[in-house]
Amino acid sequence: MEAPAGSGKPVDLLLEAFRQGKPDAFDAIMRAHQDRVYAFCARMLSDREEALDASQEVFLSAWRNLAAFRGESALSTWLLRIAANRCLNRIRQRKSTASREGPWPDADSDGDGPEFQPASPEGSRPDRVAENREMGAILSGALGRIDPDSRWLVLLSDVEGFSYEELAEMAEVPVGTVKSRLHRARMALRRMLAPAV
Amino acid sequence: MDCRDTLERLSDYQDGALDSAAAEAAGVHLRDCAGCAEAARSLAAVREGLRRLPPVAAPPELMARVREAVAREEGASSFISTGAAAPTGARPLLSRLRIPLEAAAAVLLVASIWWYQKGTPTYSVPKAPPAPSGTAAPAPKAVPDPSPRHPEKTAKSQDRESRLARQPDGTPPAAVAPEPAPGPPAATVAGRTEVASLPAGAPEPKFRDRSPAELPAAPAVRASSESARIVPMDAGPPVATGAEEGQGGAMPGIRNDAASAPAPRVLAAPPSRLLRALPYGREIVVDVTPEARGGAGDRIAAAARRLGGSVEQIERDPSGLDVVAVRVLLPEPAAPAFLSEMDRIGKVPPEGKPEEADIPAGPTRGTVAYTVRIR
Repeated sequence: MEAPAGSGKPVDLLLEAFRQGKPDAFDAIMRAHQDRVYAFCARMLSDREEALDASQEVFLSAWRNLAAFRGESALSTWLLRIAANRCLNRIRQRKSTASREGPWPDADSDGDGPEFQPASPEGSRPDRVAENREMGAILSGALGRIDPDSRWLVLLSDVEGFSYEELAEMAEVPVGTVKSRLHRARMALRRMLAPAV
Repeated sequence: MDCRDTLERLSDYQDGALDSAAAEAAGVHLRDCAGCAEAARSLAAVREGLRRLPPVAAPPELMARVREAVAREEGASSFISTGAAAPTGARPLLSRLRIPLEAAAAVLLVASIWWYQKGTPTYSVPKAPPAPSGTAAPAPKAVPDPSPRHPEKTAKSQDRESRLARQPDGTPPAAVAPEPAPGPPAATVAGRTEVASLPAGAPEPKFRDRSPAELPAAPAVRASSESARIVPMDAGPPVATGAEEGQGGAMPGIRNDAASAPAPRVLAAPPSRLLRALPYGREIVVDVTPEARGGAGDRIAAAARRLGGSVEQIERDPSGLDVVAVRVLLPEPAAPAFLSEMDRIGKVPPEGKPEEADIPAGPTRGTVAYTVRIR
């Protein structure tokens, strides 16, 4: 729901409606962004309930701070940034579930991941849909096994389409650092899925 | 480029982020090295798979849970703002202090009014006609200041009384009681006359005396009176002479046209600001030659209409002949053409023209608003 305004700067109409105190504006914001935020949390946390809790925290935090949101970035970017922070905090607090999260394979380790079929141009065919779903599950499983500090970068870059510059700003590191982290994470994923790819 | 370099740069190669020489070297290596080519292919497959991850829908309970949490917070915030029915321990400090603060504010207000009234002198100017020469002129009837503050100003207050009692022709009053004396008022030849009658021991009323130099020097613009047009003086210190004061009416720093022979320079009236600044849009100033001024407003309005816009308001000068400002609304794409049109109608000085990229927002999406002032 982001439309160009006269100045060329995106204007989020839902955000404007929320600021004007229009009823149901926040519901509309949630409806517009909840799938994206929840999917990110679910892929980051690999746990439905935790993803639900994290998504709730994201939107509650947004509700508290939307009035002060200056609109320097898109609302979706802002929400996903909150989501990344929330998920990383939760992962760091998982002391009792360390076995599920690690150890994270590095780029030099050999992974023995589940089977993976690369996507093909025929992936949109009905007979390929089930295969794509399976591929998604396999990839999601592999994503859950890489370093969380690289995982959110992979999710925002390769799944959500954020630019390296946006990620560098979010991570507060140089663009080169983002690129190298992303490359190592992708290569780790490739190794995990090597039997299939 | 060897295998290690190639593998380290595979993501950049696939992003097209390598410079041409490095990209060519990587491409050559990938053609020659089957292992690296396989790594590149599988990396591309992983990236493609990430891009094609199936969408995940948020469970329906997410919305319900967020609504519930927001309602809880809203309830808490309204609870804080009303401060009602709250456990004392949970009520914030400001909420608990509300009633005492309001009471303190009321007391302070009453005390301020009392102090102000107590410190303000009241006096009356005599209304009686001037007494004949040799008789005592009516003196102001002073009401004593109940608060004996600032006793050091007694001399000044006497001087003020003296000026208040000055005759219209500039002559000082024949008699002014310098010090109120106990007993009956002073008697004159003409009869009983009221003079300052302060009770014994009462302090003098408090006056504030100011010299002409202390008076505000801001020129009066577009001010007038029934008898004489008042125009501002030229820059410089205000001039006040005893003669002017004595002839009554003229104030220091302000010249009376009717009494002064050479007409002073009249400052131009300020530009009309009847068209108030908008919360949106921009102002454009167009310098138009006197001969073209007559039709400039119509041309601006016509230009706006021709470009698909509308004319919101037209302001004319006091004579009603010339248009001095036109407010228009335009479709956003028409803004550059409208600015060009303004350049043809007159000369738009740099400070009066918005930047090319500075397209102001109108009242609705996709519209722009301009207030064009003709100078």
